Amino acid sequence: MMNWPFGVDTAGDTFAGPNVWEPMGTGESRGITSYLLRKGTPLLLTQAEIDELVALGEFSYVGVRGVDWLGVPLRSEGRTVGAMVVQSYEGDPPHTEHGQGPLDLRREPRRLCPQQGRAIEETRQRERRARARERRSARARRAARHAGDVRPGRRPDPGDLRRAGRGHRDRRRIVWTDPLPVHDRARAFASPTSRCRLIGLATRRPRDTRAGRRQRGHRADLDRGGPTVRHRRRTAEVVRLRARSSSVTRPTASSRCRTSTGSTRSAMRTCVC
Amino acid sequence: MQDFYAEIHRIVGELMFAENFYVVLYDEDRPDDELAVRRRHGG
Repeated sequence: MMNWPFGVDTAGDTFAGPNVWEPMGTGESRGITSYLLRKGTPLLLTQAEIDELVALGEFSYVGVRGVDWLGVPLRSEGRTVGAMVVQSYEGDPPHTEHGQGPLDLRREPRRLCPQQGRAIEETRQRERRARARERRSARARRAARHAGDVRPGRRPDPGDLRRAGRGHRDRRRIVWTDPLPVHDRARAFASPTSRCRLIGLATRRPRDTRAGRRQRGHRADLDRGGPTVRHRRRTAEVVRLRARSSSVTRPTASSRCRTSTGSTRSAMRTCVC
Repeated sequence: MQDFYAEIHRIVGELMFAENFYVVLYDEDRPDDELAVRRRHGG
């Protein structure tokens, strides 16, 4: 079976195309190329030699008759797996046995083979796929990073929020939290968009480390008996601000959001849209 | 794959007259042509 994956022809000869396989001895497969594949050796033929071989019945004329024809078989694992051919249609036959590169008739074995091409193409495809994956994950990371950063006048996308683990759809509302530094007070207490309403602000608890405990005002005697209610209030582990009706609550700088030790580093803003 | 063949054509064209150039693949073990065509078209 023969297949023409690539062909360029100035005489307008056409090729069956990369998806068509023709059985030997039919259609295009009756021509010189099939003769070359049968022989498995490089061939340089002039017009006279071609005519002679046609007269001998070795192959038939297919396409346009040229002045010379140079073909080399492509070999792989000891078998002929294809051929590369150049030909010319007019003028002095330009091809000689002392060609250069892949079509040098003196050179053996042929180092180009379709398997190599396939391997190169597969590698390129793998690289393309890897780049696409990388782009997709970069997009996802960007989306996650900005999921809570709602642009004014725009509703946050519940899908983005869910993927980022920063919000969810609650009945018809979208509730999301937005980690932000508490010192950015103006931002903390502003509703991110005109369509959204701030319903709560939760300060993040400093990490449970020695420094964190010191920051949170832990004392050893309290630790022993467990934190008292007063202590829990004082450390303001979670402070929730209720927004009045639809207006956004804007606590002052002495807001209840700040912990008594002034140690809170970040807060979670909870909004509904 | 077409890029690969075009690249080969370009290289061969630098080395010799190659305005008329083609590549043929040959597979003596390939099964029945019609079957192969049908498979490619998902039939």
